[in-house]
Amino acid sequence: MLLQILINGLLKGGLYALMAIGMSLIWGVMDIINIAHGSFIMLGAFVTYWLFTLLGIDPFLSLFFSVGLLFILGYGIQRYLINYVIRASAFITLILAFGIEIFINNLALVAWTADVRKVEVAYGAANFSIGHWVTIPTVRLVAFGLVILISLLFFFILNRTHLGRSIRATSQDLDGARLVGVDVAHTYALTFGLGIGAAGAAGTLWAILFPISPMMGGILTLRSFVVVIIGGLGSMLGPIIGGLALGLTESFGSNWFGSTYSDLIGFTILVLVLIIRPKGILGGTD
Amino acid sequence: MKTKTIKILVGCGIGLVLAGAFPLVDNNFVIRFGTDILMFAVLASAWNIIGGYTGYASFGNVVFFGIGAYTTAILMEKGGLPFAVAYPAAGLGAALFAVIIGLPVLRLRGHYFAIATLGVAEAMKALVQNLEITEGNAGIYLPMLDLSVRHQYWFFYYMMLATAVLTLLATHLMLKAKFGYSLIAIRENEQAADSAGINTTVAKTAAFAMSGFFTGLAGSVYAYQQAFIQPGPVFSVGMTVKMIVMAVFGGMGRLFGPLFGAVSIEVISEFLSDYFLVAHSLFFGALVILAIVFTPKGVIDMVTRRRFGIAYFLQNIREHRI
Amino acid sequence: MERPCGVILTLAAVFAMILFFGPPDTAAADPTINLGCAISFTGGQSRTGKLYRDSYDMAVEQINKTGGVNVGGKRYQMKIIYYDDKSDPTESSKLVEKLISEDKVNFLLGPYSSGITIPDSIVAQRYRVPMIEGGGASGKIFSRGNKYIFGTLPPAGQYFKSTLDMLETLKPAPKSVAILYSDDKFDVSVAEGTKKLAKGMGLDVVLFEKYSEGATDFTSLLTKIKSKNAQVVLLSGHTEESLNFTQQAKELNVCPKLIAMTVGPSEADFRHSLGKDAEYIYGVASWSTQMNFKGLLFSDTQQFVQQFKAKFDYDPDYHNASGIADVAVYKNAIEKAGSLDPQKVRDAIAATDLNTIYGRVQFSPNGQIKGTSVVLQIQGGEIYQVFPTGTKTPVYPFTCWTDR
Repeated sequence: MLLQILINGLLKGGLYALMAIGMSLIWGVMDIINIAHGSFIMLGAFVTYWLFTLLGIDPFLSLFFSVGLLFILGYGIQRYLINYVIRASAFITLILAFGIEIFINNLALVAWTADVRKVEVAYGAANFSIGHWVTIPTVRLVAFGLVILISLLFFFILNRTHLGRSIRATSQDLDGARLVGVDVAHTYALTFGLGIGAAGAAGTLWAILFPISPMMGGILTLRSFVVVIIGGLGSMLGPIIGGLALGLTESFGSNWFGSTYSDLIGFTILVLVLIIRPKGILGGTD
Repeated sequence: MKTKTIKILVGCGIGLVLAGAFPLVDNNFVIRFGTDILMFAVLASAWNIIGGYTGYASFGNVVFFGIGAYTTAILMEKGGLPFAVAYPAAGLGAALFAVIIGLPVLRLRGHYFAIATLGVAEAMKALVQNLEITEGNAGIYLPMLDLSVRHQYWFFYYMMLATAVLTLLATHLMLKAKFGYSLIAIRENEQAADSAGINTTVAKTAAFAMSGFFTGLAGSVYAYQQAFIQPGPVFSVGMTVKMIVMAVFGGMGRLFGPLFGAVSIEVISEFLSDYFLVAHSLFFGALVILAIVFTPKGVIDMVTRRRFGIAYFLQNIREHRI
Repeated sequence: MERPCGVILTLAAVFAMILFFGPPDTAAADPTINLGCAISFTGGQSRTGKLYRDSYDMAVEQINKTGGVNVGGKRYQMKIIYYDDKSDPTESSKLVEKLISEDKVNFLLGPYSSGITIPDSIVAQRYRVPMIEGGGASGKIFSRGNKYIFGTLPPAGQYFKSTLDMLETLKPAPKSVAILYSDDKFDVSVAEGTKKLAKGMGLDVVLFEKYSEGATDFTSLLTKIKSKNAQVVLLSGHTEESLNFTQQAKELNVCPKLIAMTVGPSEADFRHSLGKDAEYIYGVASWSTQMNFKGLLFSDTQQFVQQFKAKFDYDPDYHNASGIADVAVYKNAIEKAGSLDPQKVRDAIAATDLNTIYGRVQFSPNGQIKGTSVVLQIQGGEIYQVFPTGTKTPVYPFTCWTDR
């Protein structure tokens, strides 16, 4: 039973990690807290849902579409909206993101109604057992694998490509990067696009595992926050550590204390981590 | 200088008389709506003390609102105490909580402070949902005020008005005193303020407590008016966001900015809800986006500088884009 | 410093604007009875809110088509004024205020969910205007002696009674029960009532646990169910939670002998979303489409179901039927009172004894309907009533996910 709880927690943590990767990237590079993050996950989920329902495209295949479409959307929003206030105080971008969140959620509500929908794939709840007590849900395991893959991809982009160097240069010194010829606005937009694309991927996986509705984003944004903070900003490993940590704590916490306490535990840890190690479990002390 | 002071006094006087005479309208809903606006004015102004003047972006101010509301509910319902006791107790309870939580959390800066306060509020919500004395997530009733309907609404309106006036007055006096300068110094450069001999820890914590105090008072009046509260709504992140949006929309770090923001946002969203049954939030979202892009310094900046028109908007964009 | 004069003048102008937004002109030729309703069009409760709106609209349309309401010999048309409460209790109570004092509605219809109903009912009580609601069943709504609130969902504590009664008739009768419930008012009342009943019947409650409203992850709870070897799982929550629970039970291959849920199985969405995984899940409801009652607005339940499906293209469930009953009770009470006086109508509502397509409606002194629930089960993609009487017999035990 303990082993099963451990596995539940790890697999859940993988999904949390994927949700948080995009938020962490955007936050780390541009200092924007994207509170609309959950709304983009919701959009990704609906892309998958519609592609599956209308065209019969397999949800895992639709990953390419949801990531692609959300990348374009993210690029556009950064370049033609957020960019106009990027030098104002951090609050302004925060409130702008809030406006974007309300807008997207309600657009989805008007367009698709508040109905709960579910992507109904034959393998949705496939599983295999190890012994009598341990059952592993296949889709969650695959999702976990994808998380690792996507994180590695991000790692590669940030560390091994020209774009990655531009992004890192911009995040360290905006004006300096500009002087050496980096197109800052373009780089920012690409970063935002990448972050939102990751949210799209999380949305696709979410849609395979859970029912979806236009109002699902808020709670996902909150979870992503917690993960980003616990893991700390500035490294690709952060969200993964944070996600797994949160997944495990929730799993064991709800086993020992009852599941209504899982939020209490999660947020208490968040506050404690912030007070003791403001840069996250991985980051050094101040 | 002299004429300016007189102008200010006359302006405030007119404002007070208008606000005081407002409940004479023969429509209880309008009074209730006025009470709600005043409540948000208090919340946004109280947020302004810590967020606008001190530069600490609290993302969890709703926790004080919730504590105020629940203190009132528990004292009145379980303790059988009158509102006259519960009201100040709600403010003091929230302020005390602000001091306890502020000492560790105010050491964090920027986004980290924002998220920590958010975490505190969420953790507190989860705690209240699980406690016995708060009757958990099911919510708790409060005794009802034994007056005619109209008098009930008058009572709540004037209580909220008094709270709002108190908040603005206290903020004004704070700005005149050395305390106010300490806060602004912290906002501009905390290290410099520290080396200039300001005890930043005390100043920050006091500002946080002040913010908590007034937010708690508003929560108290709210709870008594609603006569039934639940953890979800009184600790909602949405409420914190609303306070901040109002303060930013009106103009943060300005005395009347949050008041202005509260009035305009409430009126606009009421207007939209009246005309669009479902799509109102969609338009509201669009409005927030436009307002932020075009007037990031708050609407009050536009009003006081009498700068309307495209040139002002474009100038803002030029200033803040890259 | 600021320029307070300018600021305050602007504020004054804005206030003047508020006053200007008076009530919309309602210069109708026919005399009208206005029902006011602040209900969720947006936000978390908007999906279920729509079920009530559809019913309210359909009932009112039916009344107007069939001659309106007869008040002391004079014919009145009925009309509903809606506002969107954004699924927020503060907003909702403010809007009820608006309905009463600005739109001058005659009577009130309730919102959806117990948490929003309570603050609304307090406003109704302040103004002594009756409110009939079909969307809140928590005992807490009726616990304060509020004389102006009437509810047409049966008491939460008795919700699973029919299911527990059914357990005794099954062979072999299950012995151990797990009760899971969301931490909102209604579900807490359901769970506590069920626990008491189950213990009284000599059942072993091996797991009694609540989870947060809106929870998406049930893996921990399912793991516990498996390790405690609970034979019967009773879940009291909301549609999305029921969906998640079922999906994850399959993922983790947890299969007790019987799964019953309060909300979910009776809704068409639930069955469509889960497909064959929804098979054999039990539901409980105050009403089902297989019932047959002669009614006030529609000749009987079957005719109502047909008409409803033709109009809205989905199967009505107990939310819908409860909404129809709310409006029917108003028509009946207003005609009995022969007046639009809120006090007289309130007394007539309290004395209601009416046959509707929802069943016989009578209110307890606290304002809640006297009633019981029936057991439903999903078989072959449709929902059937299986207990105490029914068109099909219960399928038991549950066929495990992998053996289908």
